[in-house]
Amino acid sequence: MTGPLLASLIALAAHSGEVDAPAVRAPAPDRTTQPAAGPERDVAQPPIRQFSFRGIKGYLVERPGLPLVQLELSWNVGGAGDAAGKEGMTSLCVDWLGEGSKRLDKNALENAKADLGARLGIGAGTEAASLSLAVVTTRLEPALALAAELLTEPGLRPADLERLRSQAKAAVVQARGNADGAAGRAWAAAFWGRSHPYGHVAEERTLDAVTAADCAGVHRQLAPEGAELLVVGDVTVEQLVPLLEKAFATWRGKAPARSRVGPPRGLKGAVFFVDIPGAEQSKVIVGHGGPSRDARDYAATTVMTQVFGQGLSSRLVQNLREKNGYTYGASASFGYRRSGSAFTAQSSIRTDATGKALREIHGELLGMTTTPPTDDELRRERDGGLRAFPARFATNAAVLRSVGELLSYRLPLDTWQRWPAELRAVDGAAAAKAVKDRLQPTQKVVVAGDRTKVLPELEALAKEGVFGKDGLVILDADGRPAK
Amino acid sequence: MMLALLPSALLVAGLSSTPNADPALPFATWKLKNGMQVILHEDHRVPLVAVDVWVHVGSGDEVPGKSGFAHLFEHMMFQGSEHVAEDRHFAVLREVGASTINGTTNFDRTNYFEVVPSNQLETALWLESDRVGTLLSHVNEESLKNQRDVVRNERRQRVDNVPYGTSRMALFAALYPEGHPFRYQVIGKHEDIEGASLQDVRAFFRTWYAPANVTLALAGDVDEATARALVDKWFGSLLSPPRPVKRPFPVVALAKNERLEVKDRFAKLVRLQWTWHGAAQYSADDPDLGVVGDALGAQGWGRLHRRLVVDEPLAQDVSAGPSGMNATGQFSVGVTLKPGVDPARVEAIVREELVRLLAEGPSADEVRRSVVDTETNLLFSLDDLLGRAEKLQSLNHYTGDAGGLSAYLARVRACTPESARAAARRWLAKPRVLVITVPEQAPPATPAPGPSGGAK
Repeated sequence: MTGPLLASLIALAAHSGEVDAPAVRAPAPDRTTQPAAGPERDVAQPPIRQFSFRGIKGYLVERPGLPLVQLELSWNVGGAGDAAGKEGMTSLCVDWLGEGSKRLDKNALENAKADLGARLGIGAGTEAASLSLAVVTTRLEPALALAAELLTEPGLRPADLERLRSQAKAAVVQARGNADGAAGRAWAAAFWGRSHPYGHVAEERTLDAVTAADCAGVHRQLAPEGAELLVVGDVTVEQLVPLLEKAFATWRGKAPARSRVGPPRGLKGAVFFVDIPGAEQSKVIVGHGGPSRDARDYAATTVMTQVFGQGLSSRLVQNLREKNGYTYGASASFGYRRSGSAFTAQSSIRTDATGKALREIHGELLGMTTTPPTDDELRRERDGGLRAFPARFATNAAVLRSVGELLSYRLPLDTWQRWPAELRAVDGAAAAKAVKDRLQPTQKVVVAGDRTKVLPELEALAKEGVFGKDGLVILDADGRPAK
Repeated sequence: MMLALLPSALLVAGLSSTPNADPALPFATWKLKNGMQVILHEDHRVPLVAVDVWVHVGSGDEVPGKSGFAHLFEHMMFQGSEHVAEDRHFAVLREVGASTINGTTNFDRTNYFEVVPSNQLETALWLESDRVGTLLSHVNEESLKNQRDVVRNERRQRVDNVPYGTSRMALFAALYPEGHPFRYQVIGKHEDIEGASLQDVRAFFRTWYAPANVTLALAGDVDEATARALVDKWFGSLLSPPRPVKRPFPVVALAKNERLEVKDRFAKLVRLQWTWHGAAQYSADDPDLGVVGDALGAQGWGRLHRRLVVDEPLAQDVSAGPSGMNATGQFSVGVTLKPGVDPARVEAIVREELVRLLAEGPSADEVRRSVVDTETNLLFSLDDLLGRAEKLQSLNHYTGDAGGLSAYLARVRACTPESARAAARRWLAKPRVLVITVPEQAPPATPAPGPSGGAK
């Protein structure tokens, strides 16, 4: 390792600040054709080392270099498990753990984190709760001790819960007021259904209903046996495990296994509308259900979706942005959950173009069937994806994402090793089949925008049955049919 | 004084620590005959290269009536050039495996970047040199019209249709008088964007896109001999018009405190934001103002965060700190209120804490925490190749020395309670603008507290 370093330091000494000109001026190159690529360097997925302690399954990707370590400790505990009438409970209760320990109140804890320069947090999403830590290697040991203290000696001061509760309630108030926030809440209700584990919509009253006893129930689940720990950075297993053993020496208990989640049970309707008076753009979400992440045609589905709606060159963006100027951006993807997925195409559309843009989105979806991904498009997305492979492991954050994905969806640890071959196999027929199997002929549409300007167009779309025959439903910003 | 940031024995290819434990960014730099500057940072661990082009022009170089033009122009740079057809730039990069592709415009610089597999570096240089060299052979009315629409949509998405967007526009209008190039922010006014012509595009390109006004940074898996040969091949033959002369940004001052109330259709929580004219990025007072900002607004331990979010708690969130540009900057304190909280009460608390900070300065503990935070953020930002290219470019652009990282860190570590207090007194005792954002429609009253007692 020191050879290249010395060489680069010498280069630095020789050239820093130098202003020189090439001895021979280069002739003008041939600009008419793209230069040929050089020889490719093979890149393998970095090895994932497995370890365990106190019933926790651990995974480590060593990345020597900058003296940094990032880790994520996760449990199968999320908002999907919130009881009816207590939506927002798990997130609020898990946040509470991050507010202090028996020894350290909120202010003392924040001082301790800042003294270590430790990015230490704990929170819950829909399907998982996690503790995350990013810290300079030399301070890993005290940072781990602090993390362990939050979990094993929680502070649980009532004032902290009340503060978090009032912040969560204020966030709800804020989210209702703009097109992005309101559309997200309406989509959860319209597509998944408010009573579905993935469709929960928190409100003031559901947050008020959460008690300290509810939180004790959530906290009991954040136990070692059944938790997973992913670590990336400048540390070896031999260095890491003793630090973990020491920090978590007194930690006991069993965390829950995964629970299965059923198919969406959203509201009846084709087009759903939320009024945001004065909105200058409408947030539109067009989508339908999809396969789970471990589906066999995942590679073909991914390539096909990229052709449709990812990046400036995709059909969706070329149409809505580059051809029609309706929007600044648009994107489409399958949003995977541990059970199933939702395909969505989303954009913020200039208010007066809302109806026209929805017709274009619908037309582009139909176009995927009549004109499946072309050879040019496949080269761009498939071959580009193959060439971009090294970027999946180029930073700590990227490794955390790539390997974290395997853990989230219970995919084999050699998934990324097999990925290039799977991607290479996506030909025109496979992409066309993915279009046929995975894009559905009818979609649900959510629009949050200015009622006076947008609603007549939506009524016309619903009447024509462009997105199916289930009609137009007006929702409030909590996803309930408006009175 | 500070906790040791790095183990002294750390030595890795590409990045290294110097004996006194600073992260170092080894680089080589040279100039082409046409004046274009090149900065190279080598790291061969992963076969990727970040290609990062900085053009030393930004919205601050616009003239009155042309607000938003520098950014609209940046969009036009993605619309094709003499040998790269309309909408091909992204497609080609995507096909060769680029993992990050974008461009951004600030008040004082414009950047264009992509991270590509190292064996595809030459394609990236072909694309970048073609647009820097031959944009005008391709620009046309149709694509300009389209990008005017796109940029106006971008303005809606960033300003007109989001909470607090209108307030930010009002703040800039209060800080910078009519005719000042910062007045309408980088994004500009709708009517100016709509009025941009092909003639404007041509004139802007001819004035500002001279190779002598461009710095190219490469970071990653390419050796110096190859980099020199390839850069010279693709950029060396570009014409060399003279380097444009930048007008210095007018430095303006507020004559007295300003107080604005802005009605917002989309914000549902009242927000108070105080803004002063501040120090330029990397200028002598910038690190001290960073410490002052943290002492007030750091998440978790800043005084205002602690008092308004944690202890009382009246606020949803608090932020404070400097944002520097070339030659000038801003310092802001922002507080978003919980529903139903009296703004006058929050205003009084902020005033009290400011007075105290100006009188006593931050504590030694606060200075230390702020420095540790800056050091840690810096290390994390250097984990990716584009982050390193951007750091070298930014040091080069603002300080004239791409190798200024150690000096910068030394300056940050030299901050003391007394130096921070002095900087605070120099900048924050002056007049400022207070913008109060008020929801146009009040949110519904908070429902009655639940069984656990609800909010206090």
